[in-house]
Amino acid sequence: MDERINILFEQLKKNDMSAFDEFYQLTKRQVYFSIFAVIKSSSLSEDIMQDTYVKFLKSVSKIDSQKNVTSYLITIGKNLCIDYLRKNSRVYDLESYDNYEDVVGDTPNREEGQSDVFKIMRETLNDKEFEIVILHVVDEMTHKEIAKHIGRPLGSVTWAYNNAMKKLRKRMEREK
Amino acid sequence: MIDEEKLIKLAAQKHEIKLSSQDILKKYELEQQSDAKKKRWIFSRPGLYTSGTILSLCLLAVLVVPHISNANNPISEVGVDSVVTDIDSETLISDSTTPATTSISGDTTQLAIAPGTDNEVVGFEILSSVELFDETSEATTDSSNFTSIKARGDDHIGGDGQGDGFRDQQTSFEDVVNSYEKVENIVYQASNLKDGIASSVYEGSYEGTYGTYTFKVVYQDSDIVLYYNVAEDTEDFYYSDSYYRGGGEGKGDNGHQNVNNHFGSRFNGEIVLGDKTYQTTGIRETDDNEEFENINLTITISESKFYMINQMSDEGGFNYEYLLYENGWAQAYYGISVTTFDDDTFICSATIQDSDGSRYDFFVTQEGDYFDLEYRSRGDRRSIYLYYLEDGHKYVDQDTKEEIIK
Repeated sequence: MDERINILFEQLKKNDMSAFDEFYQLTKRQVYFSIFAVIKSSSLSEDIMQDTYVKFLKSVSKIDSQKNVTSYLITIGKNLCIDYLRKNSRVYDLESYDNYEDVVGDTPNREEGQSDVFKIMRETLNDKEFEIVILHVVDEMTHKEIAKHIGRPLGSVTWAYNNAMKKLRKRMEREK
Repeated sequence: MIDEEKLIKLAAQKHEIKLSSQDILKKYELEQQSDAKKKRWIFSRPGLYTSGTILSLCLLAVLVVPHISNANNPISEVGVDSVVTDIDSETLISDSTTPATTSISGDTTQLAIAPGTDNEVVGFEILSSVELFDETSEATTDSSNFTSIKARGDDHIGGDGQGDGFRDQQTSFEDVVNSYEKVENIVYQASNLKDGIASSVYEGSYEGTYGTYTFKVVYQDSDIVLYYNVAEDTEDFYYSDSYYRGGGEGKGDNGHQNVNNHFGSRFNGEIVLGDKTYQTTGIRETDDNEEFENINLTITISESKFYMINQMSDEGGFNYEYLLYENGWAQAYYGISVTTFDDDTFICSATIQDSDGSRYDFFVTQEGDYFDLEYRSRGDRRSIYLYYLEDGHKYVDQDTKEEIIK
């Protein structure tokens, strides 16, 4: 898949926008969940993801071909998340309840219970744990990659991850 | 993979992303059209520093640069030569009529046109409206002390570089220039101009109450780095060299990485202990929320011996290191680190490595209702659990499982 992404990336660099749809399909889940890990709201995550790709497209011709393009997108997304949280820091806490509902509410197949997992995660884990778990489990980043991504020591990431899993296990056992 | 991980993965797989590639392309095209119409740089930064004067002067530097005539200067082609123009404030204000140089028109884009061999346009696609800092009034008051600005722009020519600024509050270009009408001896220097590079360097100096402030602003894409230093404080020979780094993005290993707003100050000074005086140098950095703080201090004992003290803290913990260097080698190390995860969970570790080679490690962690106090040295390891009880506390040796103190 990475090879295909790179081929499409090269096409985009040459301003061939016909490659974008496939490029987006191959990269969107990783990018989306790296944003969702921070923002925790699906609609907001999509807004930021849209800005991420727009920003990417604007600068695609200048991006070094040697770069890992998915990491590049994730980093743009992270920066936009930080900008968003900084600009909305005063209201974000107040909105977070709505955000929770937002995620649960606009997710299809809710009856199957999968979105409840995110709800439980949000209720059980702190922000950093939530982010680390999503990045590790969904985006399949290694703890080392996560440590670099969020700027925390590897030991802290490993500890937080294990701690988060313990919390989730306890909570899910209670839910049963 | 454990059950919890499987559930999360499954939830993610079933999570629908509604945003389509067409939505993105539509927005991209709209922004491209909008950018083409309105290319401008907005250069500002809210509530930046304790010294509004310095920042406002930097702002001024950015603002005045595009207005200075380059008509008689030897820009022969884009990407080479340099321009140095001396101009006084009167000229600065009135120079908008100079042919083929600059234009001032409120909210429109500026173009400084230099007559190169091919009459190439040297365009500072700068700015017409900017946010003023909270400290504007203070800056205006002090502007009478202002003596010179030297600005060097490795600036945008042609290309499509542009930066997003902060748009909370805007004022007209004329208002800003008029508030600095006592500005004199403007020097503008442009060098190493390269096509499409959106970066700028502006330098200036300012006579303040405590000495001469010099400043340097580096602006690259949406990343802004501001340096300033205060020199010649005759009272205690103290000087600081401070900087602000902020904006949106800087280049990182993976392309872009965020650069949080960091402020810092470097300092040189002396510590006097009894009849001995030791030179010290250091740096202190914080972010704009004061959640992050980094202090590095070096105390020089002799030519071959110095102490280094590092202290870093952020919302996730605290790290302190003390090192003794001699002849280029760390001879002794004392460190303590505390990492907190929430109100109930933390790791505290301490290491002592002495100049005789001995090393001791201590760890304190919290596991449920007890603390694990662990000691390690040269293969020895001892772990003692500390329980807090209703009627006091107890220590339990984990090797023997014996309660050793109560």
